[in-house]
Amino acid sequence: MLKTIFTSVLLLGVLGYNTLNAQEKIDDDLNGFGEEVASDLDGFTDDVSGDLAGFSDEEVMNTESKNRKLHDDALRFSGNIAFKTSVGYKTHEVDGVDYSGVNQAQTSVYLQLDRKLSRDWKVRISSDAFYDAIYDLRGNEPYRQEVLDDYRTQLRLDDAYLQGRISASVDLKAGRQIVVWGKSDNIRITDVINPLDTRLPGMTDIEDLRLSVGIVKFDYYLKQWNLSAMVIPESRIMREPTPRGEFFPVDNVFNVPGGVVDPFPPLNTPATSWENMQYAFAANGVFSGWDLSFYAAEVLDQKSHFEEIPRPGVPLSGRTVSRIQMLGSAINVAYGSWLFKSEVAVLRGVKYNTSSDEKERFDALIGLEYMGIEESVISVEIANRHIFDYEQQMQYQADFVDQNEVQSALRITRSFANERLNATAVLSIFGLQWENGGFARVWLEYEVMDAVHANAGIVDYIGGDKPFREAIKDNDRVFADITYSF
Amino acid sequence: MIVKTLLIASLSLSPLLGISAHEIAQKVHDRDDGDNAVSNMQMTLIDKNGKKRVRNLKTFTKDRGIDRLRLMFFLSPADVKDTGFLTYDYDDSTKDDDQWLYLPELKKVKRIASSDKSSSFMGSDFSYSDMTLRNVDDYSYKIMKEPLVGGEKTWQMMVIPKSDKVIAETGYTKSIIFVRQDNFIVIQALHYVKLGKKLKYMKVTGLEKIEDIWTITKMQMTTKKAKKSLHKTIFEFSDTQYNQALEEAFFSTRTLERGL
Repeated sequence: MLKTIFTSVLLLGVLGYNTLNAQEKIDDDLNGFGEEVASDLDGFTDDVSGDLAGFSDEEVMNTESKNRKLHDDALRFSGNIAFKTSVGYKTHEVDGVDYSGVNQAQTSVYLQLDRKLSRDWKVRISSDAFYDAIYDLRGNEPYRQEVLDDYRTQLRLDDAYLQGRISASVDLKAGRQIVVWGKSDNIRITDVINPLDTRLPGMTDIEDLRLSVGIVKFDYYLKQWNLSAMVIPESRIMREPTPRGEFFPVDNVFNVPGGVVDPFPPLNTPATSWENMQYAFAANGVFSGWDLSFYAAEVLDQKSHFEEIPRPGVPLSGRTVSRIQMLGSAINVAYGSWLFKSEVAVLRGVKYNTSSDEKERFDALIGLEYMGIEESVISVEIANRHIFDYEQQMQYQADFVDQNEVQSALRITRSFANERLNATAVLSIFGLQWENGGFARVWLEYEVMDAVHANAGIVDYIGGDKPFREAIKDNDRVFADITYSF
Repeated sequence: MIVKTLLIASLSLSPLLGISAHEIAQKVHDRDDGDNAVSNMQMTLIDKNGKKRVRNLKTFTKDRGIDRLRLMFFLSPADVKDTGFLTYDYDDSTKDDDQWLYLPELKKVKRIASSDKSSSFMGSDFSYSDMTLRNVDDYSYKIMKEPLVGGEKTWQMMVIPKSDKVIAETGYTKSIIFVRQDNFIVIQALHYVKLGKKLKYMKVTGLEKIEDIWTITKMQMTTKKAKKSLHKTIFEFSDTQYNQALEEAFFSTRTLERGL
């Protein structure tokens, strides 16, 4: 009995001691609020160390008034000014031009004008321009005029549209615009509306690649569904790397006795006309935990082909893009920290260089995105493009395309220091065993101050069995840029 | 020491003397915090060297039954302007919230898988879990003290997640909250962060009655480690208006894409 009482008292004592220790620890933690937990609200100073001289509320209030009114402006003028540079760290020469060393010193300006016409209608016009001084600084290099035209200067109209609400459930957006289809972030399957600017492959993220196109777009909203109908009168096609420029060394890509014809056949843009009018329809459903889309389009293809099949001894014809029909679907399903993505598309009328037939193709993608690691996003996407009625010669010059073309993309992003610093790594590579080349890019984005961002990174072009990528495998570079937005 | 022991014992008994800790938590959850609200929000991020970054947002919230719909647009700085964030915050903790992000440079509405809410909300010291209503039954509560905060009587309560799942989702192993006894507002809170042994101190520094609803007009969260402040965020709300004509259809990806 005595033993029991003694044990109980001892246990209570130990428990009590531990409880008090824990209580003291909590009290210590609570001191982080300030000297007195129960002090006045206004006097709730919380700087324990005194290191944080900038923590006074007064300074915060000073910045308030100038920022608060911005959204009220009916006429809004914004944009950015950027400087980009890159350094090729491997010797690589194309058409007599050495592209190693500093190979970009580009200053660019982007301007955007937004005008709110009424509560429901607005207009946007945006344009961009750049000048790359490297082509003058390295004036002794024998750049071709086509290269200078494409890479030294640019003045371009981007968005130019009128957007508004016709009725409670119908929207209209008319003019040059970008329409993004699909759920994938890295690989395009159903995203067929806007052409891409791939003059600097591997150097730019998808958001900066799309080119605006003139579209008249009606959107009808019915509960969780959005039905979209588009008429695309403008025939605008992709911008490819310039032939005999750094990213399209045609003499290394194509094996032609005596060399490839010079100048390389131009890429002809189909005329903007009634006959070439394009059409597109989409149905997008947004549900709790998942999204589903269906697409149908008759648009210009995203790749070019020779107008006539190249034959030995026959001059190469010009290049153009075909008109394709696409039926597709895309789905997103969120589960916990996972986002599952899938896209499928059937394309008809796809033309290649080595066959006179129009081919049918089935493109499919699956992807996973994981957001369960704090401040991080990891995404993996794998796609396959299957060509029906494949002809063996298509694997050789001038198509270099397999019956099944597998593309994989891996993207990892992590934020540090309260999103002041973001690190991103992207791998995009072709082939089931990654044998067909691609690129890897790693970069850091740092918020220098409000509205000023700087990037620095490295791109590794990975060679492989496909001459298009093998030919540019030495284009590896480090890059940096700084952007001021206003 | 004896006095301390008695004090702890008396606090443990306080649920028997009046309102229980769980009832307080339920009242915090259920208090009228307004509906169909529009507000301007200024988010000031301050690093340990005192460098500030300021973001301005416009926020819209609406209750749909027991669920909450929230739409936010960045107004400045220019590089994030027009970025939109839409959340369907479900009261049912077994159901993941729906979240979509609109990035103007991507020109695309992107769904966010939102189970993990421990990540920073837009780079601030507040996490996504701090921005959503917590399910009362996911936690156990214990009244610790009834101290005065800002001259107002509060309940100081220990809040402990009941499951590892909740800890994983919020990133907090436990919290100590101070609930004002007159209006059931959490006036300050200390969160124990699972990763990095950090502590996060939330404090309401502005509180007003707007349209007869107690409204937080200013609050801050400071992240500390070993008593050193690492980073601090101040949220300031202005021009808050309740009972605006916000239709449910407004809280849609359509609005995200159209922008303000």
